[in-house]
This record gives sequence, C-alpha cells and structure tokens, in this order.
Amino acid sequence: MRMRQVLGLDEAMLAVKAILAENEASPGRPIAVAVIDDHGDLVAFVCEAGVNPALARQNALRKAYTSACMRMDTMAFADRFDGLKRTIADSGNLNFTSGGGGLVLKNSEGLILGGIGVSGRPDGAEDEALAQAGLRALRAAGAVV
Amino acid sequence: MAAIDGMLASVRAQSLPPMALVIVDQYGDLMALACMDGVTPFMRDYATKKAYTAAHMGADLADFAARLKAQGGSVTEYADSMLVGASRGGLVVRVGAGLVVGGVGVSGGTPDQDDAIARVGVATLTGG
Repeated sequence: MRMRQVLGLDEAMLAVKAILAENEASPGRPIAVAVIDDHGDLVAFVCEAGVNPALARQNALRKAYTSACMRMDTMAFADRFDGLKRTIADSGNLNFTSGGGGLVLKNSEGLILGGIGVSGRPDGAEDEALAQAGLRALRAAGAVV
Repeated sequence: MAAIDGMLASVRAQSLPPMALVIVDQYGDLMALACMDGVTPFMRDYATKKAYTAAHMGADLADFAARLKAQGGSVTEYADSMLVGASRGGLVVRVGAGLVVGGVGVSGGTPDQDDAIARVGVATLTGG
C-alpha cells in the first residue's frame, strides 16, 4: 500500500486564519480564502462579509484549484501559458484561472499537498501577498516548504 | 469563522466522528466550510447540499422533509439537484423578524449528531 501525506484541516485553518489576520492588518477589501487538497477538493473556505460573491468567491476557489492541479502558483501559470501562447480554453478546464493569488503547497519531498487561493483585492498581486501570509504560517509550522 | 470554530470545538469536545461543516448565505452560496480529516467527498457534498436546502427552502430540513411527506411529494419535483430530502443536519439561519440569511449543513455523524452540531453553528451565528 502506498502511503502519502495529506493536507489536514489543522493546516488549512492555520493558513486561512493567517491570511484573514493579514487582511485585517492592512485593511483593504473583504476577501475570500480557499484551501484545497491535492485532489482539488475543498478543505477550508471563508468568505468575509461584503465580499463580491460572484467574483471573489469563485476566483478564490479557482486560484486554489489551479495551483493544486497545475503544481505552480497562478502567476507562474499565467507566465507559462503566455509563453506558450496558450489560453485557459486550450487547457480544456474552465475552472483554471491565471489571476494572481493562488499558491501551490508542497512538502519537503516535493509532493503536492494542495493550493491556497485568495481573492477580493483589486489586483492579483495584492491577493498573492495575502496568500503568502498563509504560506509563511504553514512554513513556520513545518508543514510545507 | 466563529461559527465554524464553535462547531469544530463541539465535535472535538464530544469526540464525534469527523464531519464536514458548511455555512451558506441566503442564496445557498458558500460562505464558510471546514472538512475534518477523514471526511469523504460525499460528506462534503452532502453537508453543502443540506445547508443549501435549508437556506433555499427557508426551513430546517426536518420541517422541509415533513412538509414533503405530508404533501406526498419528493425533492425531485423541484428539479434542483442541490436539494436534499434528509431530515437532519441542515438548519436555516434567521435574524430579526425571521428574515432568512443563510443555512448551516453538517454531515459525517449520525443524523442526531449532525443536527446537534448544526445547532451549535446556528446559535453562534445568531448570537444565541
């Protein structure tokens, strides 16, 4: 039997709370935060009051999903597809997004554990900066590299 | 987030089986979710659908299921694949004079365990 490490709820909640705290520390807009495992399944999710539901909720989910499935941050994914002159439609998966704010989670062996997605700020770089707070918290806990 | 934390604490304090905990808004759209370690994808979907059903029908699942039964009806008549006919683990969230603001869905335990945990979530959300 093959054993593999799986992202747990404790890790997911640690990331979500670190990101919400970071957003509170540098007040901007309300955000949605999603943490997804390596199967693309949702482990933890929070939508702050006042979030644009159609946009931010969906984008947070898609950013986390894209990072976990494509094994790279969404900004790197955007660059790669630009370089290949490909669009998301070419990937055949319309749940992908190239918006900044999705980060891949890997353990020390390079195994993909999942992805974090943040949405709500006016630009993807700001969403990514918030998502980094989640990654930092997970690194500090020794869960990811 | 406080409601999710409250429900998680309650599940752990009672050593209940791992559960999927879901909170949706009045439209049935996801507001918060936590899947405990060991929860199956089925439970995640089921908890989500329970919360959606309670919010959309503006009723706790027990009442919605009883209404259906009294009418001799079935959830399939609504032609909405998100609606479930379960009678436990899905509660409507109301504020003030009864305005529906969302729903709480729980899956993973026995029907009564699911219901008890959902009640913790509603109590936290409504400040009761």
